[in-house]
Formats: sequence, structure tokens, C-alpha cells
Amino acid sequence: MCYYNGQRVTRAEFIQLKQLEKAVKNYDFLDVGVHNGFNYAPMAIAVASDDRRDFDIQQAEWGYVPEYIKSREEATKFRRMYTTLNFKGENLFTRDDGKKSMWADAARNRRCLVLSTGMIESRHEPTFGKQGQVLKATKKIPYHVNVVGREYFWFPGLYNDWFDPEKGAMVRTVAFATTGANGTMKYIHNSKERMPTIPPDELCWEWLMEDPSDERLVEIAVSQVPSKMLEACTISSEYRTSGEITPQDYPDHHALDSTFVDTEELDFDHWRK
Amino acid sequence: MRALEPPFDLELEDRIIVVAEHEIGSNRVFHVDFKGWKKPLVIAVGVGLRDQKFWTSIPQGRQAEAEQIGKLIAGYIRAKMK
Repeated sequence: MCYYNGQRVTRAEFIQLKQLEKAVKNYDFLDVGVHNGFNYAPMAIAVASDDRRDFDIQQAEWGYVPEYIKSREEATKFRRMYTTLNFKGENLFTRDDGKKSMWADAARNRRCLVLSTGMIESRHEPTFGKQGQVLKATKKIPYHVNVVGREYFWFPGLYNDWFDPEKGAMVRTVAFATTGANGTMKYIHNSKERMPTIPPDELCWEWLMEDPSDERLVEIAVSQVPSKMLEACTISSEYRTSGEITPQDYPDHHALDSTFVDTEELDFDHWRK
Repeated sequence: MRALEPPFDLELEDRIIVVAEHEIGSNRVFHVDFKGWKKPLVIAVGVGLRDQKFWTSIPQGRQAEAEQIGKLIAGYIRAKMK
């Protein structure tokens, strides 16, 4: 006879509950509504099993740290200096100056998928002084952006295990790919005109479970989700501290133009059938 | 199957707790955030020997809390369905 928490259960139910225990153990990040990258908080990633027939959901600190970093303090400095929350899909193997990219080894050996239920980017709008002059400071309008009809979606990611001497344990760290912004994201993320890479599911599978060539990996890493697949709304700027998304209107802010989405053409649209 | 419940607040012992439902494999679990006054708790519905359903903590060890909060969650979801 099996008991779980004092309740009599069948052996099958006992096994199921024990399996659930294992899964839940790694889920202390489940209640996080919004990830703020600069907190380097844990986020959910999918990593292929050794035989590549299945994958596990694990947690990893957002902000890639290479193994030569010796302390938590050094890791924090490294992340601030190089902003390794993301990597440019175009620079997966080669940097802009033609040299080998720091991501090359991870791209070949430590690929993962980063789970997202929505992303936040801010539009920067100019502010004006008393004489009407443009000021240096900009006003930020944060947007919450989702993929239409999807509760969650994936970004191609790269992970690295780093020994944290304070914890006395290996810590998995992760960064995800970005690519050139589509029309909607150019408007929203107008300071950089970049967006997270969101490939269709079959390309996510290829990235995670298969062994694509370097050229194919770059193709996946620069995949652009079309504007018509995105929905966006302005939210309260409190999201950074509250971790929650609260829709908010900004009266002086123009509504998002979506008249172009049906005719949009992108260089790396892998969603088009 | 019932759609996943968006996160919601419940009142427990004159305090607010935040409950979030998640799907892990084919199982549904509820993550309970006590906002600092207790360790977070994960609870799920188990099936007993006579097919009776019961609330249980995952992992084992916090059965009383699982039953108390499970009842509140069930009440909340039922009330929403009406």
C-alpha cells in the first residue's frame, strides 16, 4: 500500500506524484510575472536530454557568464560591461569586426530554448524644454508584446554552466538571440530597432534537438516574427518593481500603427508558409 | 479541460496570498505565494484509493495547508464558473 502525505493512493498515483515532486523542485520561478533582465533572475529554459529524444525544463540565470569568471562580484561586473542578456543572431559565429564570436562554442554545443510568455520593450519619445528645444532625456513608454494566440513561445538561447564560489555550486546561465526588428518592434523599441528572435516551432525544434550547420544556426537565430503575429499594449512603468503587468493608457501617446502588417516583408521571415 | 486560471488573490487568515496555476506535463499545480510570511507552497489534486480526490502539497509535508488552501482555490474557481 502506498501513502502520499498520509493519503492512501495506488502505486501508479504515488509514482505520478513523486514525478511531479521532481518537476516542481525546479520551479521556484513559477510565480514570476515579468522578468527584469538586470536582476539576473532565474528563468525557464528547455534543454535537450543527452539522447536528444526529449527535453527538460530547467531554470537558468538570465545573463550569460563564461567559466573563467571567478567570483559573483566579477560576474556582475562582466554582465554590466558586456550585457550578456542577449546575443545578436547575426554574430553567432563571427563578430562585426570579422573575429571569432564569444558565442561560437555555445552555439555548437550548448543550445537551449528560453520560455517566454511575453516581452517588454519601451518606446523612447523626445521631451522638450521650456523654449521648445529637444532635451537629452527621453520619455519611456513601456509595451507588453505577445504572440497572437500563444500562451508561451520560445527564443533560441545559449547557456553556460559557471561555478559560483559563494553557492559552492554550478549555476546555469543563459542568453537569448535578438534580430532586426519588424515594423511593430521598430516603432516600440525605437532606440535599438532590435527584437528577440522568435522562430516558428519547427525551427525551435531544429535549434534544440538537431545538429544544424553553422549557417543554418545563424538562419534560425535571425528569424523574424512578422508584425501581424504580434499584439502589443502599453503598460504601467511599475512593472520593473512590481513584477506585474498592468495595462495603462498614455494620453499624449499615438496609437500603434498596424496598417502595414499585411504587406510587411522581412528579410528573415520563416513564419511564411 | 478547464483553461488555466490566471493568477489570483485569496484571503487566508486575514492576509492576501497569490495563487498561480501552472501545467507541468499533464498535471496542473497551484503555486501559492504567501508574500513573505511563509515559504511558497505548491499544491495539486491527488486521487485516492477509492477515486476520491484530495489536495496534497508537492512535495509531501504540508498536508494541512494544502487542504486548507485547496478548499479556498476550489471555492474561487467554482464561484467564477457560476
